[in-house]
Amino acid sequence: MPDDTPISRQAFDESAARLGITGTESHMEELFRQVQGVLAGTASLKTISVSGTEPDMAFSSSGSPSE
Amino acid sequence: MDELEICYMSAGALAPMIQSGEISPVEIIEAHLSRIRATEPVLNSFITLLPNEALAAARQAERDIRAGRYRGPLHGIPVGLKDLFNTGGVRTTSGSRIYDTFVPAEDCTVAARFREAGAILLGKLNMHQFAYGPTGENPDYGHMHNPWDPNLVSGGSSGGSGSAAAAGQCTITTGSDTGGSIRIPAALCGIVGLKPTYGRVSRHGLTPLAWSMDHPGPMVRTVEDAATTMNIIAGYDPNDVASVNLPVPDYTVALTGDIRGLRIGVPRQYLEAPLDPEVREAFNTALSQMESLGAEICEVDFPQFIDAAPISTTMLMAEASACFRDVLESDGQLLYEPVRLRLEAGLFISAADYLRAQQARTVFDRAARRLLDEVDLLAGPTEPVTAPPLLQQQVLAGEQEIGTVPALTQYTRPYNITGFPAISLPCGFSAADLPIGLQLAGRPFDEETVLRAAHAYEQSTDWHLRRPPL
Repeated sequence: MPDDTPISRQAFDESAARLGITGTESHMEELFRQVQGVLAGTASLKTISVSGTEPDMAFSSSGSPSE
Repeated sequence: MDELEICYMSAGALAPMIQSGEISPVEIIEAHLSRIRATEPVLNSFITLLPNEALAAARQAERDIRAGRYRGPLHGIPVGLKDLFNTGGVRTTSGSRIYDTFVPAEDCTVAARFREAGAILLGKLNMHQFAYGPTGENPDYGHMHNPWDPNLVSGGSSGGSGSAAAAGQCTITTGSDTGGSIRIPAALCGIVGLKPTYGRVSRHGLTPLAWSMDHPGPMVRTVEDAATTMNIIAGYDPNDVASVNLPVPDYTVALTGDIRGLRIGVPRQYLEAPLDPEVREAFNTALSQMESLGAEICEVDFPQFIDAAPISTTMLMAEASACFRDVLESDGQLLYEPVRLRLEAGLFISAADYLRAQQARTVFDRAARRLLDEVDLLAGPTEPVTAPPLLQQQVLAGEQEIGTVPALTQYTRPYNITGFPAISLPCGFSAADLPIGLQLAGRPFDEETVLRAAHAYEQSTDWHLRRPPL
């Protein structure tokens, strides 16, 4: 059966270890829950059409309107 | 003069009295220290109070003014700074005990400009730890409390600034705003909070949260005081890479009271989002009031509004985790658990997702700028709800129960993405006597129009004159 969660628990544990994140079982459980939410949010960015748009790497408010 | 009356006078009202000698800065500071002593056990607005230093500065100001060395409209005015604005010789904790003994050698640019203007620093104000939350929670220095009901949040992250200004503990306070942290406590505490355009006020010497969305600005009780404060703190600073070198107008000149012909757009999507009926009614009444003053109110279409949450959340979490990664690794166990979890969760965002959010930010920004080709200002409620109870995780907005954090940032985060100037000012009270905020946003570096409209509306109502029952 396909897993439709943004990240499996095993992948989360591996990533956490790679990032040097440790904590109690309850801390890691809550972090896993929050990471699921964060990654669901980033996944929703894919619904925004950004084709041909460069990221503003040095963000400035002084750009001209409607460019 | 009655001490409480002094504490609720605006800088605009105090300044001519200070200049003429009708009132002394010493009298003003003593009144505020009394007010702080009386209300601080309930509010917990301050992390560091500077009574002796403030009184010494007031005596010096008194001598200077008597000797004809009056410096201008903030000379002798009591100011409180959010405790992430570095202050030379005064500890700056960023709301964390990790920095409990950190004493910067130098002022941040904003503090230096207040000092040059003769303003008197009363103390450093409480804040959500590392500015990473909209409710004003802080286990290290105690949670902040709303002056209108201490069981409720003051808002965050600049919660101490909101409560201090609303309760008459300070005449002027400052906040920083990454997802709404000036405007949220301003709305929930019933004061005026201005998030200036990104690049207008220097971030130099402030503890960052998310470099590309951090905005320092004033939190005060009147629009005129916001304009006066901007006259002091706005302007180019070569020490801030985001600072923009544009001329700074005299913002008080914009306060003409005339908004005839001003086009104010209300994004349809704002009113389709979760929204408390009392807030909706107050907002609609405020629109009618501005229409009666001659503004043209129209509905505009802003379908990108729903994208604000994933864009700002992705950018904020990735940048904040990068900002505090070293702290997380060295002292993670000393952090407030919700802040630690957010910082750790942000490390799971990939570079590709962060850049995707930046691309989406550009798309969002262009759409918002096109709206401001059609209208002069965008209006909406600042908050979809009034102040919720402390530590409550969910709020009821209309018929929908949603998370407290997404609710409180619902209408504020779009303007952190775009960097537009945005102000919150009081526009009513709920049946429970809790403040409701109106948000007006304008074109980049056009704080003048934002302030002009806010001032005209404010002066035609008396919401800003109400005082919390303290």
